Amino acid sequence: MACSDGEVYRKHADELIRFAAAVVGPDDAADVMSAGVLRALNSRHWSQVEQQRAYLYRSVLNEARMLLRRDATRRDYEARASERDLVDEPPTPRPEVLRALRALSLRQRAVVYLTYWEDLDPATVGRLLEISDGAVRRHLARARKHLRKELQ
Amino acid sequence: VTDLLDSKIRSFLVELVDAAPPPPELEEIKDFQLGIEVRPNRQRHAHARSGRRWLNGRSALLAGAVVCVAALAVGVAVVANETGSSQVRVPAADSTTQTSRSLASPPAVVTGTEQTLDRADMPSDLNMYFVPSSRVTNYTVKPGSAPHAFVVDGSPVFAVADVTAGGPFDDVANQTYPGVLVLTMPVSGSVGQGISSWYRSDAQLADAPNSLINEWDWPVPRQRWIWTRVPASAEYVTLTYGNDVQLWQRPLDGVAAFSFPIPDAQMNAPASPSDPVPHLVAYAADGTVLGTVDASPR
Repeated sequence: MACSDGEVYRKHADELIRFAAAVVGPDDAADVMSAGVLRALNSRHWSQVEQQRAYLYRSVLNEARMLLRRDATRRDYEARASERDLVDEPPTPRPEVLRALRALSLRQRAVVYLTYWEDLDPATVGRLLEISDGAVRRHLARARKHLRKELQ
Repeated sequence: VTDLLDSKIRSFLVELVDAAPPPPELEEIKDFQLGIEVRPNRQRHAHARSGRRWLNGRSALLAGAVVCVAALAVGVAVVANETGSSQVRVPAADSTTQTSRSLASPPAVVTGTEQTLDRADMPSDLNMYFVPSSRVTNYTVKPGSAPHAFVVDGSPVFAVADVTAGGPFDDVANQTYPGVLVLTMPVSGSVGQGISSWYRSDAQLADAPNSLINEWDWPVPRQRWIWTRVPASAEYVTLTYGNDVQLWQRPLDGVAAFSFPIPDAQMNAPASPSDPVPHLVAYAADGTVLGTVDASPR
């Protein structure tokens, strides 16, 4: 029996917000996730989607891509501004963590998250992101190379 | 070495994920699509005067536009598919009525450089959003009004319309929210595809800063401020921004819009409460002040 949109959302909301935080950082996570979920639920194909979880992941990733493409410069500016503006903040990642995140491409971020956090094998990650196993391994290798440098 | 790196990567992820906010409720997402101010039912670092309080303040301005793009981009596909992209149900704005504005010299209180607001032909890509559709772009142009397209100082064409927004979801389908919809054509392919949009309900517009809409003309580092509810009898609107920018304009259809560069000092340094914010004043023909509006401090 098919789940309602609300049921599907509630089932995946927690993992999607984590995924969004891992690919765009916690500040933009809610916005990117919301946009991705909206896009997915409003898709005319949504009712026919069999792998709804994968579809939601890809939708969130697409929104992240759009956000970063459009607003790289402005986000930099606003991020710097926020360092001064915000005082009563929840814990935020250290600057070096955010710098390491920025060193990765979006796809690398997604692969790292799904591999290390969700403990998915390359084949499963590939199915989620609609890329090949080989591509997953390549992204992971490059991401590890970047992170080795950034997190040392 | 590998284990150490794996450990570091996991710690790296933990730090990111631990800082993730709780996922929004589905109802919040639906409201967000409508551009309605959402009840602040959770602790978020809201921008002091953000119209969407559940958004993080750092990116409220940005993400509001971007996420609306996302929602509306779906609308493009849906509408284009359902109506055919060449089908235009709302007449394009008349591009020849600029001379209807008074050409009299402004009163002495109106100082600075004139920046002309011109009508533009309504791009079909924008016009389709004003066509009633079934699901996503659920905005309806108010009876008796028409969307208008404008251009100021060579910036991207934007459209303004008085609309009512209705919910595409069952729980809000019977409600409508009057307000203003502002759409902007993409600057270029280099900043991605999509159409930037802002929806502001009448309730939000009642709060003066909310009636000012800020668009960033990326990748060119310019900022554009659109005042959507200029007092009806205003003949002139001035904009003051710090000590360097002093512009004036003859509004059209209750709209004034100014475009000017983002100062280098703001581009290359953290924002500060002392950064200037636009201050707009509407004047009658005789120089009487009819209204003012200041942007929210960043």
